[in-house]
Amino acid sequence: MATKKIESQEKVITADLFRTVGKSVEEMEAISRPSLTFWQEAWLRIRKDKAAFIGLIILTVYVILAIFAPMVSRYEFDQQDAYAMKQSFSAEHWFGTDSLGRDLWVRIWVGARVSLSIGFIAAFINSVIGTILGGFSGYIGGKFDMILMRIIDIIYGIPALIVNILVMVVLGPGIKSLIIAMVITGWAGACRFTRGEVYRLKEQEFVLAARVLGESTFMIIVREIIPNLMGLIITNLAMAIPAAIFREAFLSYIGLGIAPPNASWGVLAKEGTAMIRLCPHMLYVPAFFICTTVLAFNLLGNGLRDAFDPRMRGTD
Amino acid sequence: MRKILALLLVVVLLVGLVACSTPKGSDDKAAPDKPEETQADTPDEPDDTPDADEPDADEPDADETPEPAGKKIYRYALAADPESFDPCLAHGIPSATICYHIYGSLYLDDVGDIRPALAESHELAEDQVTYTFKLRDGLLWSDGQPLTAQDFEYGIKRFVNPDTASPMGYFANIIKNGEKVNKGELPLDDLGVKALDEKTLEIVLERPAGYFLGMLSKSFFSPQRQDIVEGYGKDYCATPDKQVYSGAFVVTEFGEGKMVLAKNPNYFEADKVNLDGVEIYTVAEANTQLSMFENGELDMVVLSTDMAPQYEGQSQSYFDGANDFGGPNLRNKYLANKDFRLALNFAINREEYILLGHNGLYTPNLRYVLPQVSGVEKSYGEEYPYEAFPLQGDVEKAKQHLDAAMAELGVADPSEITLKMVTTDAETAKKEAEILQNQWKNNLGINVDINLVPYKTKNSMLTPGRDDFDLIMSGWVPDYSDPYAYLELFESDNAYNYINYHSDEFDGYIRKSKETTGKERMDNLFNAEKTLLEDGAVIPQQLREVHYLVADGVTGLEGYFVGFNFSYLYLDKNAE
Amino acid sequence: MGKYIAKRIGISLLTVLVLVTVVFILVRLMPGDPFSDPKMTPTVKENLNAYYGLDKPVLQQYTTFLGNLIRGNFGYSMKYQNQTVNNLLRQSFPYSLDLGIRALVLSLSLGLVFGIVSARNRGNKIDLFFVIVAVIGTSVPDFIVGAILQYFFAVKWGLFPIAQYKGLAHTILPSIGLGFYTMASVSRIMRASMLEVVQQDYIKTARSKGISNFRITWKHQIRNAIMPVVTVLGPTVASVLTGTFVIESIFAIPGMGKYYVESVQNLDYSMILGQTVFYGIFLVFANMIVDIAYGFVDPRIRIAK
Repeated sequence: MATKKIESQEKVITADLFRTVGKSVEEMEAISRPSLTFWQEAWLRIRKDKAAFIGLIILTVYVILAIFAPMVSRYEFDQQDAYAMKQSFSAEHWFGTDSLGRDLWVRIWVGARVSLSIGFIAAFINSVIGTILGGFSGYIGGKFDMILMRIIDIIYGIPALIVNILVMVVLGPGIKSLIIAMVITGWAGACRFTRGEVYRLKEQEFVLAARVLGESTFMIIVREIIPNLMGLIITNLAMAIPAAIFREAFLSYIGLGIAPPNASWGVLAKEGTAMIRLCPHMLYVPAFFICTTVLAFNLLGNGLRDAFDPRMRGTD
Repeated sequence: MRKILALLLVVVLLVGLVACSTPKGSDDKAAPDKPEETQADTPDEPDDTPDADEPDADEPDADETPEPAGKKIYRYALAADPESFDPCLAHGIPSATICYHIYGSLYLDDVGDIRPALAESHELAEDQVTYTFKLRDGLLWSDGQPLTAQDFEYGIKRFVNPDTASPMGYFANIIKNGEKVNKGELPLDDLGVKALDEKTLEIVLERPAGYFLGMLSKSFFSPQRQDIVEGYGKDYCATPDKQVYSGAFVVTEFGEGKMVLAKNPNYFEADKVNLDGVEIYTVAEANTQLSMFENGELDMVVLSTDMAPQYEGQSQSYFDGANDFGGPNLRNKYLANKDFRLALNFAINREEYILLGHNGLYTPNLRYVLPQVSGVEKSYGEEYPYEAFPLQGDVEKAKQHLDAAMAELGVADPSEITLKMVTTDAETAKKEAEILQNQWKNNLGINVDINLVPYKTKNSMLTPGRDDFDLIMSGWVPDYSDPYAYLELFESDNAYNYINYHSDEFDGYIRKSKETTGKERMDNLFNAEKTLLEDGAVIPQQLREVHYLVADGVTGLEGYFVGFNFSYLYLDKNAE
Repeated sequence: MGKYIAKRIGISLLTVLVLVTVVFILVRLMPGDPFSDPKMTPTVKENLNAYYGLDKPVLQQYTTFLGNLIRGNFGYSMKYQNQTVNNLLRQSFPYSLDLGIRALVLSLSLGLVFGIVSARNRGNKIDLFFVIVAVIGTSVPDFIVGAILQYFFAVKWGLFPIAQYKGLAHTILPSIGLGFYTMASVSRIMRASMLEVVQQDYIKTARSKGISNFRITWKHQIRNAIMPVVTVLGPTVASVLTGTFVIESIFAIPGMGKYYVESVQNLDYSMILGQTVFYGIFLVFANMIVDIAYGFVDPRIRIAK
């Protein structure tokens, strides 16, 4: 397609025919938005995202209550009462009592300490290890990838119960051993997942561009690939947290979790399912907190994903 | 579109990798090995219509085959599959219960009434150890073959044979040379069991044991058929057809979460057996069992103590024999102190413990031996009433003992003392441990770390000389109705004396009980029990009083604490 | 390609071998031993150890085990003393498989549909609804889902049978219970991935070419967005099939889930190893197929490089 020729030769266009109506060149080049770092911008965007902000508030409230509620309550979390067993909600016991007459309000928040820390820490460590290893594995490929993936196959294949029992035997019961046991087997999922995604991303143009510009492999993974995976990583993390909470519950269920009389949400929910016919509140209360925590983290996670997404910077 | 199809192929491949058909019917036993067939069946099925591509073969044969009218089938559920119905290998109470109903015995311990069964009578020689049993006339196996004394001899010898590796082999110890034969130190022929002729069996014991007749209901002492055992080898009893039966019922189905028994018309007392059959399902969850019972799918259900108060007035109960108690490890420096052990014992409010742990339904145990076991004439508990510790505890006394212990041990503050308590990971065990932990903390100020371990791991700790627990929560179920069944545990050299209890006084009474009979023997046993408790060597908790519901129209179900938990031999039920 | 697959099969077999070796060592490090009933005297334990060859040196036990393994024989269970592990697995696996397939088909199809619909309606009420369903699905543990399904749909309202696995009606609640988590997670992954893809240049290109929204979603978006779901498919299949323990126990289904916990708790060495080999082969080959499938689904990925 040929460009249109300017037909009239008589009209000569010169610079002085134009005048500046609005901004000057200097004004146009001026930076009108305050210069924001990556994190500042992310924070800004989260605050604007209503859903994410609600999620953040819920989590903050839970964390604060987990820290302080047991301190100010008039009941101890392990205080038994033979004459107040299995009570429903009341002014005395806000969330009722369990089958040993212990106050559920206090137990919920003591349990929150265990569940939240296990959920966050285990899921976070798993994701970090998994993402980095998966990133390399997917990007480098070849032998490294093959060996790592086979190791993962093996980790998946070992009955997790055995690993957990052995960790408990070596380190003794407690939050630390639970987290370690979960990390030993848990990173593999995140790793495999990330690796699959990197397989897809590494053929894309911006990666090619970075490679042409001479970026090192490490920097390409950290600067180009992982930020582009953020959305999926965070979604994955949002599911890894409840998974960690459930896993703890399952382990507690078969006696490998937290040592009594301490409790976690998982333990409380497990105790509740046995009582579903008699006093369903024992199930509903912990289930409610597990659900809302996960929901809050999801809302926050969605917000975070958008906030961290390089393609969405400055688009509002 | 090709890519979508490719994805579909992936799904189908994954599914087809090991795919087979539904798990019913006998024709698809080998199905897991034939993935190709299903692949060929399914490739063009849309994968978003759930269940559409499922083989529907399960529907025709799936319906609960309605019983022909008038059949009396008793149905109950177990929490786990019975491990075996091999008379030598069954060892859990649920499988022992089944064996009680499918294998005949010389004498029957019919819920405390010990009477002749396949044997017509017996004679005890003057030496008090030689028993001669006379079999009834016309005894038959379920396949119609005659049942002889030789079958008994063979059965018992197979049980004691080390190659059989019976997990309950220690029962052999009561028979002459039994332990040595079971160890492989003596040949099988040296065992004190001999068929004198087709209908006469002689059993010689290692030492006099008045309770021996009561042990004969165990399937270890039941007859077995040499031709069947040797014909099937290791597969003997693997499936119902690889065994013949001498009891009231025969097994017709076993496996896949279900066991079915049918009446054995050849049983000597078949006319007294009212049931046509029994169906036993594996249902792990107590809640599910209860729902099935209420829906009319089961005729009996055992209630957890959590649920039982809901059914007050409708439920029945029995003692299953378990006397749950804490075992203090006497190798621990605190627990080696008698005052400290007594402090632990007196600090427990057993009334509150039962209320919290079991809604007040179990019986708090204030002694060690189950009072329901046989004494000389009446029950042991009636003849020797005893309360070692007050029902509600005695905190004052406990503190005195604690102070004495602390002074002796040089401990200034009770909070310096921490004990490691091991119990199983079951929900009730956890609850019980938490209550004791709480009571000791409140009443004495000492700390207890609860360690929940799998059942087997805990069991492996129940041996003398271990240091990996300070307190271990356990219980004991008697093998025969006699106080000695409980007390033998703590003889100094006993293989299960896991608390490492060594008391000359206790050992002395036990020794004397073996040399005496009747009232005198019972006195010695009672003194032994008293010694044990005055030493605080056990921390008794409770006797399990199990509550259960029985469907309308079902009569004659009996719970018991020796060898089996329920007898449905003479159960009757309104025909359906 | 053929050579690649042959090589992968070889490596997969090697992986299974390493796996069983690791598990063989680990089970023997576990505290306690298989025969530890308090009533088992030392003599009885010796007899049992001899019966199972546990009195032999560990190395010899290992070689015997491998020899049997090659013949496909896992030996006799230590809890179910006269049952072979093969027989127990053969009896129970069809139940787990049947349940697993139903749950997978249900959860994959619904999960994908929910994810797609949700992404297409991003930000509005429909999206919110599916997001909430997905969040509940991923935040309620299976033992709660199972208990609640059974309590309401079977016990209270009597719509379905309470337990056991004897016909189509019996399969519905357990399939939902087992597939619920997977459905929710598939829908979440699909939704996130769809939104990721929608920003890609080829979608913009397609849109600027004036292709209809429906065609874009169908032809470009879904096809590319499905990759992450394929990635998790291998582990998901395995986790659905191994995750049957809780659901099977609630609904009294005689599948192999029970052995997963029971064998470890009873230290049933032969059953633990038998299961490990069984699942291991299954898992390793499922992942292998997924890897190969990448090449089919996404032409940009070339495995053989």
